[in-house]
Amino acid sequence: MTTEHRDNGWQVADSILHRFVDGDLSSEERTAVASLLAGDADALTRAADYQRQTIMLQALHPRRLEDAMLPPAGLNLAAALRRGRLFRRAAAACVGCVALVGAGAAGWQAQLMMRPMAPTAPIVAVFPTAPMQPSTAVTAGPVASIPPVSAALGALGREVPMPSIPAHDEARVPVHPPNLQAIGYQLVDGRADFTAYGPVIRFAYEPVGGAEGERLALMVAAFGADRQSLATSINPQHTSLFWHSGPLLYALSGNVDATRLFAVADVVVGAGERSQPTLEPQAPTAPAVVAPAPEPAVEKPADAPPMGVQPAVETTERPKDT
Amino acid sequence: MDQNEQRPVEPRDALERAIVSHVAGLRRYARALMGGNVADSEDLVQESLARALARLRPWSPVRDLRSYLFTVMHNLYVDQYRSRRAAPPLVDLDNILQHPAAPPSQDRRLELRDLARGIEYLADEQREVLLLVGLEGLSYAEVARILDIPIGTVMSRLSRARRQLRDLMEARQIPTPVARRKPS
Repeated sequence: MTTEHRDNGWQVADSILHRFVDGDLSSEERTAVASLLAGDADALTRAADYQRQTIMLQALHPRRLEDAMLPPAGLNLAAALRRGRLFRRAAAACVGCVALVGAGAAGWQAQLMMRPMAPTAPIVAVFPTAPMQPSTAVTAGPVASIPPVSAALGALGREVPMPSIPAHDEARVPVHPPNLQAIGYQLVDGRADFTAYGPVIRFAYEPVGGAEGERLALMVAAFGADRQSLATSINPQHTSLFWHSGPLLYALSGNVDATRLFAVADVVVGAGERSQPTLEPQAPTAPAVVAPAPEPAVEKPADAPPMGVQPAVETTERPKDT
Repeated sequence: MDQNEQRPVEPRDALERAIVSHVAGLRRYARALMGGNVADSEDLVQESLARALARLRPWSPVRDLRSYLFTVMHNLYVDQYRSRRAAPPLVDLDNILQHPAAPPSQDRRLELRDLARGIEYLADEQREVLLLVGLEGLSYAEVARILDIPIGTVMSRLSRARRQLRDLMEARQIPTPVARRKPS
């Protein structure tokens, strides 16, 4: 039915107008509705309003270039991070239970367990900005953007408090260099710079022993920092990995393959989660302390497409629509 | 050997490439659904991707991957996030318009603010339909599959959402009593 009776006579039905605006009509139907609209000023106004709503909606939420910057390797890392996070949570739960048995540390451990965990670290982009040449991989020197080793940070794995980075709401988040010894890297340099796109804290890591492998650069900036600007200070020959966690944007770069970089990133993310309780008490509203979504106790079997041939979407998902 | 070319590795890569092609849409929809809350929307996207990756098999492809991904996201949203949005939050337009395609004029900015607020005041069911159709350009049939509702319900929810949004935005153009007061 294309028309309906209103107080002031027959009008083009709203449902037809929506289908017209959304391109859900055949070409013949569109032609017919267009001719109806030509003689119905009210319907024409409504259709224009709905069309305008759609245009404004897309202007309100524009597609961003960075949204699409997620190559397949990033998906692997996303899954790895999820597994890592679950493992860490399980381990933390075990530690918490043991600690609760100990009477002396019970209160402290309970406080630890009640602290909110860091939100998930979504992966933004993984890309070598230029094809890595085999010769470059062997002969490349230290990362250009990282200055020579600072004697002040020479001690292995020493936790050196660095300047804080302002979050969205002016709360300040202190940044500590992640300890990467477990994965064979030692901290060799760290400094804070104030750049045109905000404060950036840079850490440099070298493989323990310093003989094999390459130096890694880890940059930490405020979440709102412009990623492209951050990327310009990274050696374009190196593989780079960007992600954000809470109020901070991370960039990890090095002349290593992506798999190695992913492993390092996982440790950095884990270190970031562990360091979250060190948030300054005057910053309780910092985005970093947003509690994550609770893990579902039982995974919905309805999410799993049945093993077989061509499971249809409508049979694999049972949305809970209220 | 030809058989080596048919290892599951390659379909898996193809599957991941196919998923990646929908990530931008998922991100945008999640941002809109969360009212511009970047952290929550990124969590929702990542959880959705992780769940989809854990369940999809290269040798058992779904018929419509985009619908499947949006369905997973919808389920996660209903399970874990919708309850957090019991009350319409204040809309931080600066957060939403972090990277606008072009700097909006003041009038347009106000219009967008009204639209953002209007969307926040819609019922969840109406907002989901409006965003899937208006923002992501999904067909009514696709939306019906994703939300597991009849097409007629999709259309009625869309109609109510747009009408309510239109009324809300028009109401904001009514001058306030203070503005209409004549100077003494």
